[in-house]
Amino acid sequence: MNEPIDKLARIARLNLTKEERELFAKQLGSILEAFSILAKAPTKGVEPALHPVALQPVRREDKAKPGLKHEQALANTQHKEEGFFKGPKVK
Amino acid sequence: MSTADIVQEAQELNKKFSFFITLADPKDGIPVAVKDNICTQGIQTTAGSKILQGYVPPFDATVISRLKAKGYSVLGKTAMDEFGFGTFSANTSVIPKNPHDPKRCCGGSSGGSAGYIAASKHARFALAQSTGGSISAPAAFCGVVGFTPTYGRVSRYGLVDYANSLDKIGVIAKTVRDAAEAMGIIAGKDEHDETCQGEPFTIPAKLAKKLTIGVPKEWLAQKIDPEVRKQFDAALEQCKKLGWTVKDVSIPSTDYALSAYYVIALAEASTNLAKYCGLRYGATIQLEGGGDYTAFFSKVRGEFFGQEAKRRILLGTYVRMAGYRDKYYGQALKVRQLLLNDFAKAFRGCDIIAAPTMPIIAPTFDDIAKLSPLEEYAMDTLTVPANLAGLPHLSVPCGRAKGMPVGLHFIAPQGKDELLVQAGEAYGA
Repeated sequence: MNEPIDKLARIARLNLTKEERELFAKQLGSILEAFSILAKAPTKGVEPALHPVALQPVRREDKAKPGLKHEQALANTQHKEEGFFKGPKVK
Repeated sequence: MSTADIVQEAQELNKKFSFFITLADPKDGIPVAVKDNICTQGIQTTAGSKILQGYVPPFDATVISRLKAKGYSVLGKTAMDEFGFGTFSANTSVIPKNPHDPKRCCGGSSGGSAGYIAASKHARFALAQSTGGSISAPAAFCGVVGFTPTYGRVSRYGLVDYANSLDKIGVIAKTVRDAAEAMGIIAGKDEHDETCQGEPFTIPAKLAKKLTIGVPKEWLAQKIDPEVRKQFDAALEQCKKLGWTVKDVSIPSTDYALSAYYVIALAEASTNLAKYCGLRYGATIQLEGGGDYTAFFSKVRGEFFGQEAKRRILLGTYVRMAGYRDKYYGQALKVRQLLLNDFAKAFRGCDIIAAPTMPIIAPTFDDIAKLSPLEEYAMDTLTVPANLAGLPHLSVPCGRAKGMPVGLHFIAPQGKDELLVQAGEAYGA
Protein backbone atom coordinates (compact mmCIF):
# COMPACT_ATOMS: atom_id res chain seq x y z
CA MET A 1 0.00 0.00 0.00
CA ASN A 2 1.37 3.38 -1.00
CA GLU A 3 -0.50 5.58 1.46
CA PRO A 4 0.10 5.86 5.19
CA ILE A 5 -2.76 4.57 7.37
CA ASP A 6 -2.96 7.93 9.15
CA LYS A 7 -3.75 9.73 5.89
CA LEU A 8 -6.48 7.21 5.00
CA ALA A 9 -7.98 7.44 8.47
CA ARG A 10 -7.98 11.24 8.28
CA ILE A 11 -9.78 11.23 4.91
CA ALA A 12 -12.28 8.67 6.23
CA ARG A 13 -12.84 10.68 9.45
CA LEU A 14 -11.95 7.69 11.58
CA ASN A 15 -9.97 7.76 14.81
CA LEU A 16 -7.82 4.66 15.21
CA THR A 17 -6.02 3.34 18.26
CA LYS A 18 -2.30 2.59 18.06
CA GLU A 19 -3.06 -1.16 17.95
CA GLU A 20 -5.54 -0.68 15.10
CA ARG A 21 -3.06 1.41 13.10
CA GLU A 22 -0.42 -1.31 13.40
CA LEU A 23 -2.87 -4.13 12.59
CA PHE A 24 -4.40 -2.39 9.56
CA ALA A 25 -1.01 -1.28 8.21
CA LYS A 26 -0.08 -4.97 8.10
CA GLN A 27 -3.38 -6.34 6.76
CA LEU A 28 -4.39 -3.73 4.19
CA GLY A 29 -1.23 -4.20 2.12
CA SER A 30 -1.80 -7.93 1.64
CA ILE A 31 -5.52 -7.45 0.87
CA LEU A 32 -4.75 -4.80 -1.77
CA GLU A 33 -2.05 -7.04 -3.20
CA ALA A 34 -4.66 -9.79 -3.65
CA PHE A 35 -6.99 -7.29 -5.34
CA SER A 36 -4.28 -6.33 -7.86
CA ILE A 37 -5.10 -9.55 -9.76
CA LEU A 38 -7.73 -7.29 -11.38
CA ALA A 39 -5.00 -5.73 -13.52
CA LYS A 40 -4.62 -9.08 -15.33
CA ALA A 41 -8.28 -9.27 -16.39
CA PRO A 42 -8.77 -8.94 -20.17
CA THR A 43 -10.86 -5.75 -19.99
CA LYS A 44 -9.62 -3.97 -23.13
CA GLY A 45 -12.63 -2.40 -24.84
CA VAL A 46 -14.99 -3.50 -22.02
CA GLU A 47 -17.35 -0.87 -20.62
CA PRO A 48 -17.62 -0.53 -16.82
CA ALA A 49 -20.90 -1.90 -15.37
CA LEU A 50 -22.02 0.48 -12.62
CA HIS A 51 -25.11 -1.64 -12.07
CA PRO A 52 -25.73 -5.33 -12.76
CA VAL A 53 -29.03 -4.62 -14.51
CA ALA A 54 -30.05 -2.11 -17.18
CA LEU A 55 -32.05 0.59 -15.41
CA GLN A 56 -34.70 2.64 -17.16
CA PRO A 57 -35.30 6.27 -16.14
CA VAL A 58 -38.36 6.32 -13.87
CA ARG A 59 -40.69 9.19 -13.03
CA ARG A 60 -43.41 9.69 -10.52
CA GLU A 61 -46.21 12.18 -10.28
CA ASP A 62 -45.02 15.59 -9.08
CA LYS A 63 -47.33 15.74 -6.12
CA ALA A 64 -46.50 16.75 -2.56
CA LYS A 65 -46.88 13.99 0.03
CA PRO A 66 -46.48 14.16 3.78
CA GLY A 67 -42.94 13.33 4.96
CA LEU A 68 -41.59 12.84 8.47
CA LYS A 69 -43.02 15.11 11.13
CA HIS A 70 -40.61 17.53 12.76
CA GLU A 71 -40.57 15.64 16.06
CA GLN A 72 -40.08 12.29 14.28
CA ALA A 73 -37.02 13.61 12.50
CA LEU A 74 -35.57 14.78 15.82
CA ALA A 75 -36.65 11.76 17.86
CA ASN A 76 -33.38 9.85 17.46
CA THR A 77 -30.91 12.54 18.48
CA GLN A 78 -29.78 13.85 21.85
CA HIS A 79 -28.19 16.85 20.13
CA LYS A 80 -31.07 19.26 19.52
CA GLU A 81 -32.08 22.75 20.49
CA GLU A 82 -35.25 24.74 19.76
CA GLY A 83 -36.41 22.26 17.14
CA PHE A 84 -33.08 22.04 15.33
CA PHE A 85 -30.22 19.54 15.27
CA LYS A 86 -27.29 20.87 17.23
CA GLY A 87 -23.85 20.17 15.79
CA PRO A 88 -20.28 20.50 17.05
CA LYS A 89 -18.61 23.90 16.75
CA VAL A 90 -17.23 24.70 13.32
CA LYS A 91 -13.77 25.72 14.56
CA MET B 1 -50.61 -21.74 16.38
CA SER B 2 -51.23 -18.32 17.88
CA THR B 3 -49.21 -15.12 17.84
CA ALA B 4 -48.32 -15.76 21.49
CA ASP B 5 -47.01 -19.28 20.69
CA ILE B 6 -44.64 -17.87 18.08
CA VAL B 7 -43.42 -15.11 20.40
CA GLN B 8 -42.88 -17.56 23.26
CA GLU B 9 -40.96 -20.01 21.09
CA ALA B 10 -38.73 -17.18 19.78
CA GLN B 11 -37.96 -16.06 23.35
CA GLU B 12 -36.96 -19.59 24.33
CA LEU B 13 -34.86 -20.17 21.22
CA ASN B 14 -33.18 -16.81 21.71
CA LYS B 15 -31.94 -17.74 25.19
CA LYS B 16 -30.23 -20.78 23.71
CA PHE B 17 -28.97 -19.55 20.34
CA SER B 18 -28.96 -15.67 20.33
CA PHE B 19 -30.79 -15.36 17.02
CA PHE B 20 -32.21 -11.91 17.82
CA ILE B 21 -30.66 -8.53 18.63
CA THR B 22 -34.10 -7.16 19.53
CA LEU B 23 -37.21 -9.18 20.27
CA ALA B 24 -40.49 -7.34 19.81
CA ASP B 25 -43.68 -8.51 21.49
CA PRO B 26 -46.38 -8.43 18.80
CA LYS B 27 -49.89 -9.07 20.11
CA ASP B 28 -51.45 -9.94 16.79
CA GLY B 29 -50.65 -10.85 13.20
CA ILE B 30 -48.29 -13.60 12.06
CA PRO B 31 -44.94 -12.64 13.58
CA VAL B 32 -42.00 -12.66 11.15
CA ALA B 33 -38.30 -12.42 11.98
CA VAL B 34 -36.56 -9.57 10.14
CA LYS B 35 -32.85 -9.03 9.57
CA ASP B 36 -31.68 -6.12 11.69
CA ASN B 37 -30.65 -3.96 8.71
CA ILE B 38 -34.28 -3.54 7.57
CA CYS B 39 -36.04 -0.53 9.13
CA THR B 40 -39.04 -1.30 11.34
CA GLN B 41 -41.14 1.53 12.70
CA GLY B 42 -40.93 1.74 16.48
CA ILE B 43 -38.50 -1.21 16.78
CA GLN B 44 -34.76 -0.67 17.21
CA THR B 45 -32.78 -1.22 14.00
CA THR B 46 -28.99 -1.39 14.35
CA ALA B 47 -27.69 -3.43 11.37
CA GLY B 48 -25.64 -5.26 13.99
CA SER B 49 -23.61 -2.11 14.67
CA LYS B 50 -22.92 -0.25 17.90
CA ILE B 51 -23.02 3.00 15.95
CA LEU B 52 -26.78 2.53 15.37
CA GLN B 53 -27.51 1.42 18.92
CA GLY B 54 -30.74 2.99 20.12
CA TYR B 55 -31.92 3.97 16.63
CA VAL B 56 -35.69 3.51 16.39
CA PRO B 57 -36.84 4.18 12.82
CA PRO B 58 -39.87 6.48 12.43
CA PHE B 59 -40.89 4.53 9.29
CA ASP B 60 -41.19 1.03 7.85
CA ALA B 61 -39.14 -0.33 4.96
CA THR B 62 -41.33 -1.09 1.92
CA VAL B 63 -40.99 -4.86 2.51
CA ILE B 64 -42.31 -4.37 6.06
CA SER B 65 -45.31 -2.24 4.96
CA ARG B 66 -46.15 -4.90 2.37
CA LEU B 67 -45.98 -7.73 4.93
CA LYS B 68 -48.07 -5.76 7.43
CA ALA B 69 -50.71 -5.15 4.76
CA LYS B 70 -51.03 -8.95 4.46
CA GLY B 71 -51.50 -9.53 8.19
CA TYR B 72 -47.91 -10.08 9.31
CA SER B 73 -46.21 -8.39 12.26
CA VAL B 74 -42.56 -7.98 13.27
CA LEU B 75 -41.35 -10.68 15.67
CA GLY B 76 -37.88 -9.24 16.16
CA LYS B 77 -34.65 -8.19 14.52
CA THR B 78 -32.19 -10.93 13.74
CA ALA B 79 -28.48 -11.05 14.44
CA MET B 80 -26.07 -10.24 11.62
CA ASP B 81 -22.49 -9.22 10.94
CA GLU B 82 -22.09 -5.48 11.48
CA PHE B 83 -23.62 -3.83 8.36
CA GLY B 84 -23.41 -7.25 6.65
CA PHE B 85 -19.60 -7.27 6.78
CA GLY B 86 -18.91 -10.97 7.21
CA THR B 87 -19.57 -14.57 6.24
CA PHE B 88 -20.20 -16.06 9.69
CA SER B 89 -22.28 -13.52 11.68
CA ALA B 90 -19.32 -13.31 14.04
CA ASN B 91 -18.26 -9.70 13.29
CA THR B 92 -20.73 -8.26 15.78
CA SER B 93 -21.70 -8.34 19.45
CA VAL B 94 -24.76 -10.65 19.31
CA ILE B 95 -23.40 -13.83 17.69
CA PRO B 96 -26.01 -16.45 16.74
CA LYS B 97 -25.20 -20.13 17.28
CA ASN B 98 -25.95 -22.87 14.77
CA PRO B 99 -28.91 -24.94 16.00
CA HIS B 100 -27.33 -28.10 14.52
CA ASP B 101 -24.19 -27.57 16.62
CA PRO B 102 -23.89 -24.51 18.88
CA LYS B 103 -20.07 -24.61 18.66
CA ARG B 104 -20.48 -23.65 15.03
CA CYS B 105 -21.64 -20.43 13.39
CA CYS B 106 -24.91 -19.87 11.52
CA GLY B 107 -23.11 -18.31 8.57
CA GLY B 108 -23.55 -14.74 7.54
CA SER B 109 -24.42 -12.19 7.28
CA SER B 110 -28.12 -13.13 7.68
CA GLY B 111 -27.18 -15.66 10.37
CA GLY B 112 -29.93 -14.95 12.89
CA SER B 113 -32.68 -15.30 10.26
CA ALA B 114 -31.30 -18.65 9.02
CA GLY B 115 -30.68 -20.09 12.48
CA TYR B 116 -34.15 -19.10 13.63
CA ILE B 117 -35.87 -20.69 10.61
CA ALA B 118 -33.85 -23.88 11.13
CA ALA B 119 -34.74 -24.08 14.82
CA SER B 120 -38.36 -22.85 14.86
CA LYS B 121 -41.24 -25.29 14.61
CA HIS B 122 -43.69 -22.51 13.72
CA ALA B 123 -41.97 -20.03 11.41
CA ARG B 124 -42.24 -20.48 7.64
CA PHE B 125 -39.93 -17.66 6.52
CA ALA B 126 -37.81 -14.73 7.68
CA LEU B 127 -36.57 -11.63 5.89
CA ALA B 128 -32.90 -11.62 5.00
CA GLN B 129 -30.60 -9.63 2.72
CA SER B 130 -27.60 -10.37 0.53
CA THR B 131 -24.77 -8.27 -0.85
CA GLY B 132 -22.31 -11.03 -1.80
CA GLY B 133 -23.91 -14.23 -0.49
CA SER B 134 -25.45 -13.26 2.85
CA ILE B 135 -28.67 -15.22 2.24
CA SER B 136 -27.21 -18.34 0.62
CA ALA B 137 -24.29 -18.84 3.03
CA PRO B 138 -26.35 -19.00 6.24
CA ALA B 139 -29.13 -20.96 4.50
CA ALA B 140 -26.56 -23.61 3.49
CA PHE B 141 -24.90 -23.70 6.93
CA CYS B 142 -28.24 -24.03 8.74
CA GLY B 143 -29.92 -26.47 6.32
CA VAL B 144 -32.75 -24.20 5.17
CA VAL B 145 -33.85 -22.56 1.91
CA GLY B 146 -32.35 -19.19 0.94
CA PHE B 147 -33.84 -17.15 -1.90
CA THR B 148 -32.02 -14.11 -3.30
CA PRO B 149 -33.99 -12.37 -6.06
CA THR B 150 -32.73 -10.62 -9.16
CA TYR B 151 -31.21 -7.22 -8.27
CA GLY B 152 -34.04 -4.69 -8.27
CA ARG B 153 -36.90 -7.16 -7.95
CA VAL B 154 -37.50 -6.20 -4.30
CA SER B 155 -37.42 -2.62 -3.02
CA ARG B 156 -34.43 -1.54 -0.94
CA TYR B 157 -36.31 1.41 0.56
CA GLY B 158 -35.66 1.28 4.31
CA LEU B 159 -32.66 -1.03 4.02
CA VAL B 160 -29.54 0.12 5.85
CA ASP B 161 -27.32 0.28 2.77
CA TYR B 162 -24.10 -1.69 2.50
CA ALA B 163 -23.42 -1.50 -1.26
CA ASN B 164 -26.23 -0.04 -3.35
CA SER B 165 -25.40 -1.79 -6.62
CA LEU B 166 -25.26 -5.18 -4.88
CA ASP B 167 -27.81 -5.20 -2.02
CA LYS B 168 -30.89 -7.40 -2.40
CA ILE B 169 -33.57 -8.10 0.19
CA GLY B 170 -34.69 -11.75 0.04
CA VAL B 171 -36.02 -14.59 2.11
CA ILE B 172 -34.85 -17.50 4.23
CA ALA B 173 -37.54 -20.19 4.47
CA LYS B 174 -38.39 -23.74 5.46
CA THR B 175 -39.35 -24.73 1.90
CA VAL B 176 -39.08 -23.28 -1.57
CA ARG B 177 -42.86 -22.80 -1.56
CA ASP B 178 -42.64 -20.74 1.65
CA ALA B 179 -39.96 -18.56 0.06
CA ALA B 180 -42.11 -18.10 -3.06
CA GLU B 181 -45.10 -17.04 -0.98
CA ALA B 182 -43.03 -14.42 0.81
CA MET B 183 -41.61 -13.19 -2.50
CA GLY B 184 -45.17 -12.88 -3.78
CA ILE B 185 -45.79 -10.31 -1.05
CA ILE B 186 -42.57 -8.29 -1.04
CA ALA B 187 -41.50 -8.13 -4.72
CA GLY B 188 -42.44 -5.55 -7.35
CA LYS B 189 -41.91 -1.90 -8.23
CA ASP B 190 -41.72 0.79 -5.56
CA GLU B 191 -41.67 4.52 -6.17
CA HIS B 192 -39.34 4.94 -3.19
CA ASP B 193 -36.54 2.96 -4.90
CA GLU B 194 -35.69 3.89 -8.48
CA THR B 195 -33.57 0.75 -8.90
CA CYS B 196 -36.57 -1.42 -8.06
CA GLN B 197 -37.95 -1.93 -11.54
CA GLY B 198 -38.72 -5.66 -11.48
CA GLU B 199 -42.15 -7.20 -11.86
CA PRO B 200 -44.21 -8.50 -8.95
CA PHE B 201 -43.51 -12.16 -8.21
CA THR B 202 -46.02 -14.75 -9.41
CA ILE B 203 -45.99 -18.14 -7.72
CA PRO B 204 -45.33 -20.42 -10.69
CA ALA B 205 -47.04 -23.66 -11.70
CA LYS B 206 -45.16 -26.95 -11.50
CA LEU B 207 -42.11 -27.26 -13.76
CA ALA B 208 -43.27 -28.63 -17.11
CA LYS B 209 -39.93 -29.14 -18.89
CA LYS B 210 -36.71 -31.03 -18.34
CA LEU B 211 -33.96 -28.62 -17.38
CA THR B 212 -30.39 -28.40 -18.57
CA ILE B 213 -28.09 -27.70 -15.62
CA GLY B 214 -24.72 -26.06 -16.25
CA VAL B 215 -21.86 -26.62 -13.81
CA PRO B 216 -19.03 -24.05 -14.12
CA LYS B 217 -15.80 -25.99 -14.31
CA GLU B 218 -13.81 -23.05 -12.90
CA TRP B 219 -15.93 -23.13 -9.72
CA LEU B 220 -15.38 -26.82 -9.08
CA ALA B 221 -11.65 -26.18 -9.45
CA GLN B 222 -11.79 -23.98 -6.30
CA LYS B 223 -10.83 -25.36 -2.90
CA ILE B 224 -13.93 -27.30 -1.83
CA ASP B 225 -14.22 -29.65 1.18
CA PRO B 226 -14.26 -33.18 -0.38
CA GLU B 227 -17.27 -34.16 1.75
CA VAL B 228 -19.20 -31.12 0.52
CA ARG B 229 -18.20 -32.05 -3.02
CA LYS B 230 -19.51 -35.59 -2.45
CA GLN B 231 -22.94 -34.23 -1.49
CA PHE B 232 -22.92 -31.93 -4.52
CA ASP B 233 -22.11 -34.82 -6.88
CA ALA B 234 -24.96 -36.80 -5.32
CA ALA B 235 -27.28 -33.82 -5.89
CA LEU B 236 -26.33 -33.78 -9.58
CA GLU B 237 -27.19 -37.49 -9.78
CA GLN B 238 -30.56 -36.61 -8.25
CA CYS B 239 -31.04 -33.98 -11.00
CA LYS B 240 -30.28 -36.59 -13.66
CA LYS B 241 -32.90 -38.89 -12.12
CA LEU B 242 -35.42 -36.11 -12.75
CA GLY B 243 -34.56 -36.39 -16.42
CA TRP B 244 -32.48 -33.22 -16.38
CA THR B 245 -29.30 -32.89 -18.40
CA VAL B 246 -26.11 -31.94 -16.55
CA LYS B 247 -23.25 -30.37 -18.50
CA ASP B 248 -20.08 -28.36 -18.01
CA VAL B 249 -20.15 -24.62 -18.64
CA SER B 250 -17.38 -22.04 -18.39
CA ILE B 251 -17.18 -18.75 -16.48
CA PRO B 252 -13.66 -17.65 -17.47
CA SER B 253 -13.67 -14.45 -15.34
CA THR B 254 -14.15 -16.48 -12.12
CA ASP B 255 -10.59 -15.77 -10.97
CA TYR B 256 -11.23 -12.02 -10.95
CA ALA B 257 -14.78 -12.04 -9.56
CA LEU B 258 -13.93 -12.19 -5.85
CA SER B 259 -11.56 -9.20 -6.01
CA ALA B 260 -13.94 -7.24 -8.26
CA TYR B 261 -16.79 -7.91 -5.84
CA TYR B 262 -14.81 -6.79 -2.79
CA VAL B 263 -13.47 -3.65 -4.45
CA ILE B 264 -16.97 -2.55 -5.53
CA ALA B 265 -18.56 -3.54 -2.21
CA LEU B 266 -15.91 -1.75 -0.13
CA ALA B 267 -15.97 1.37 -2.30
CA GLU B 268 -19.75 1.64 -1.97
CA ALA B 269 -19.69 0.73 1.74
CA SER B 270 -17.15 3.42 2.60
CA THR B 271 -19.38 6.09 1.04
CA ASN B 272 -22.56 4.70 2.63
CA LEU B 273 -20.96 4.64 6.06
CA ALA B 274 -19.92 8.29 5.78
CA LYS B 275 -23.33 9.32 7.12
CA TYR B 276 -22.79 7.76 10.56
CA CYS B 277 -21.39 10.58 12.62
CA GLY B 278 -23.35 10.73 15.88
CA LEU B 279 -25.42 13.74 14.97
CA ARG B 280 -28.94 12.85 13.83
CA TYR B 281 -29.30 9.29 15.13
CA GLY B 282 -27.43 6.39 16.66
CA ALA B 283 -24.68 6.25 19.26
CA THR B 284 -22.95 9.51 20.09
CA ILE B 285 -20.76 11.41 22.55
CA GLN B 286 -21.20 14.75 24.31
CA LEU B 287 -20.87 17.80 22.07
CA GLU B 288 -18.98 19.64 24.78
CA GLY B 289 -15.34 18.61 24.71
CA GLY B 290 -15.86 16.65 21.47
CA GLY B 291 -13.90 19.22 19.46
CA ASP B 292 -14.80 20.72 16.08
CA TYR B 293 -16.79 18.95 13.33
CA THR B 294 -13.97 16.77 12.04
CA ALA B 295 -12.69 15.85 15.50
CA PHE B 296 -16.20 15.06 16.75
CA PHE B 297 -17.15 12.87 13.79
CA SER B 298 -13.79 11.05 13.79
CA LYS B 299 -14.13 10.36 17.51
CA VAL B 300 -17.70 9.02 17.26
CA ARG B 301 -16.79 6.81 14.29
CA GLY B 302 -13.59 5.58 15.93
CA GLU B 303 -15.46 4.68 19.09
CA PHE B 304 -18.54 2.94 17.69
CA PHE B 305 -17.54 1.22 14.42
CA GLY B 306 -16.28 -2.36 14.85
CA GLN B 307 -12.94 -3.56 13.55
CA GLU B 308 -14.20 -5.07 10.27
CA ALA B 309 -16.22 -1.93 9.50
CA LYS B 310 -13.09 0.18 10.02
CA ARG B 311 -11.04 -2.12 7.81
CA ARG B 312 -13.64 -1.86 5.05
CA ILE B 313 -13.95 1.92 5.34
CA LEU B 314 -10.17 2.30 4.99
CA LEU B 315 -9.96 -0.12 2.05
CA GLY B 316 -12.99 1.44 0.36
CA THR B 317 -11.47 4.90 0.79
CA TYR B 318 -8.19 3.73 -0.72
CA VAL B 319 -9.67 2.11 -3.85
CA ARG B 320 -11.58 5.33 -4.63
CA MET B 321 -8.61 7.68 -4.17
CA ALA B 322 -7.15 9.61 -7.08
CA GLY B 323 -4.26 7.57 -8.41
CA TYR B 324 -5.74 4.20 -7.45
CA ARG B 325 -9.34 4.59 -8.59
CA ASP B 326 -8.81 3.34 -12.15
CA LYS B 327 -6.60 0.48 -11.06
CA TYR B 328 -9.08 -0.88 -8.52
CA TYR B 329 -12.61 0.54 -8.72
CA GLY B 330 -12.70 1.26 -12.46
CA GLN B 331 -11.18 -2.10 -13.30
CA ALA B 332 -13.59 -3.93 -10.95
CA LEU B 333 -16.58 -2.40 -12.77
CA LYS B 334 -15.18 -3.66 -16.06
CA VAL B 335 -14.71 -7.13 -14.60
CA ARG B 336 -18.38 -7.06 -13.58
CA GLN B 337 -19.22 -6.54 -17.27
CA LEU B 338 -16.92 -9.44 -18.23
CA LEU B 339 -18.75 -11.63 -15.74
CA LEU B 340 -22.15 -10.54 -17.09
CA ASN B 341 -20.92 -11.51 -20.57
CA ASP B 342 -19.68 -14.89 -19.30
CA PHE B 343 -23.03 -15.67 -17.67
CA ALA B 344 -24.96 -14.60 -20.79
CA LYS B 345 -22.85 -17.00 -22.83
CA ALA B 346 -23.20 -19.85 -20.32
CA PHE B 347 -26.99 -19.44 -20.17
CA ARG B 348 -27.19 -19.87 -23.95
CA GLY B 349 -26.34 -23.53 -23.26
CA CYS B 350 -28.25 -24.19 -20.03
CA ASP B 351 -31.35 -23.13 -18.07
CA ILE B 352 -29.80 -23.00 -14.63
CA ILE B 353 -26.30 -23.05 -13.18
CA ALA B 354 -25.59 -25.31 -10.21
CA ALA B 355 -22.71 -25.44 -7.72
CA PRO B 356 -22.13 -26.12 -4.05
CA THR B 357 -23.42 -23.04 -2.17
CA MET B 358 -20.39 -22.85 0.14
CA PRO B 359 -17.04 -24.65 -0.15
CA ILE B 360 -17.17 -25.73 3.51
CA ILE B 361 -19.65 -26.68 6.24
CA ALA B 362 -20.37 -24.18 9.02
CA PRO B 363 -17.02 -23.63 10.78
CA THR B 364 -16.59 -23.61 14.57
CA PHE B 365 -16.09 -20.29 16.31
CA ASP B 366 -12.56 -21.43 17.22
CA ASP B 367 -11.72 -21.96 13.54
CA ILE B 368 -13.23 -18.60 12.58
CA ALA B 369 -11.01 -16.81 15.10
CA LYS B 370 -7.93 -18.18 13.31
CA LEU B 371 -8.89 -16.81 9.87
CA SER B 372 -7.24 -13.70 8.42
CA PRO B 373 -9.61 -11.15 6.81
CA LEU B 374 -8.45 -12.31 3.36
CA GLU B 375 -9.15 -15.95 4.22
CA GLU B 376 -12.66 -14.99 5.36
CA TYR B 377 -13.25 -13.02 2.13
CA ALA B 378 -12.19 -16.11 0.12
CA MET B 379 -15.06 -18.12 1.67
CA ASP B 380 -17.40 -16.11 -0.59
CA THR B 381 -15.79 -17.38 -3.82
CA LEU B 382 -18.82 -19.45 -4.88
CA THR B 383 -21.56 -16.99 -3.85
CA VAL B 384 -19.98 -13.79 -5.17
CA PRO B 385 -20.35 -14.28 -8.97
CA ALA B 386 -24.18 -14.48 -8.95
CA ASN B 387 -24.35 -11.51 -6.57
CA LEU B 388 -21.96 -9.37 -8.59
CA ALA B 389 -24.03 -10.07 -11.72
CA GLY B 390 -27.40 -9.43 -10.00
CA LEU B 391 -28.63 -12.95 -10.84
CA PRO B 392 -31.36 -14.62 -8.77
CA HIS B 393 -30.13 -17.59 -6.79
CA LEU B 394 -31.51 -20.25 -4.51
CA SER B 395 -29.76 -22.38 -1.91
CA VAL B 396 -31.51 -25.63 -0.98
CA PRO B 397 -30.38 -28.28 1.50
CA CYS B 398 -28.58 -31.25 -0.10
CA GLY B 399 -27.49 -33.81 2.43
CA ARG B 400 -24.98 -33.55 5.23
CA ALA B 401 -21.21 -33.62 5.61
CA LYS B 402 -19.67 -34.43 9.01
CA GLY B 403 -23.19 -34.22 10.41
CA MET B 404 -23.72 -30.62 9.23
CA PRO B 405 -26.03 -29.38 6.43
CA VAL B 406 -24.70 -28.73 2.93
CA GLY B 407 -26.28 -26.34 0.41
CA LEU B 408 -26.91 -26.77 -3.31
CA HIS B 409 -26.91 -23.52 -5.28
CA PHE B 410 -29.16 -22.90 -8.27
CA ILE B 411 -28.57 -19.69 -10.25
CA ALA B 412 -30.88 -18.40 -13.01
CA PRO B 413 -30.66 -15.60 -15.58
CA GLN B 414 -31.85 -12.14 -14.46
CA GLY B 415 -35.63 -11.94 -14.08
CA LYS B 416 -36.08 -15.74 -14.07
CA ASP B 417 -36.72 -15.90 -10.32
CA GLU B 418 -39.83 -18.02 -10.86
CA LEU B 419 -37.82 -20.67 -12.74
CA LEU B 420 -35.64 -21.07 -9.64
CA VAL B 421 -38.73 -21.80 -7.57
CA GLN B 422 -39.87 -24.39 -10.10
CA ALA B 423 -36.42 -26.01 -10.16
CA GLY B 424 -36.13 -26.01 -6.37
CA GLU B 425 -39.55 -27.58 -5.92
CA ALA B 426 -38.90 -30.20 -8.60
CA TYR B 427 -35.63 -31.02 -6.83
CA GLY B 428 -37.67 -31.66 -3.71
CA ALA B 429 -36.85 -28.70 -1.45
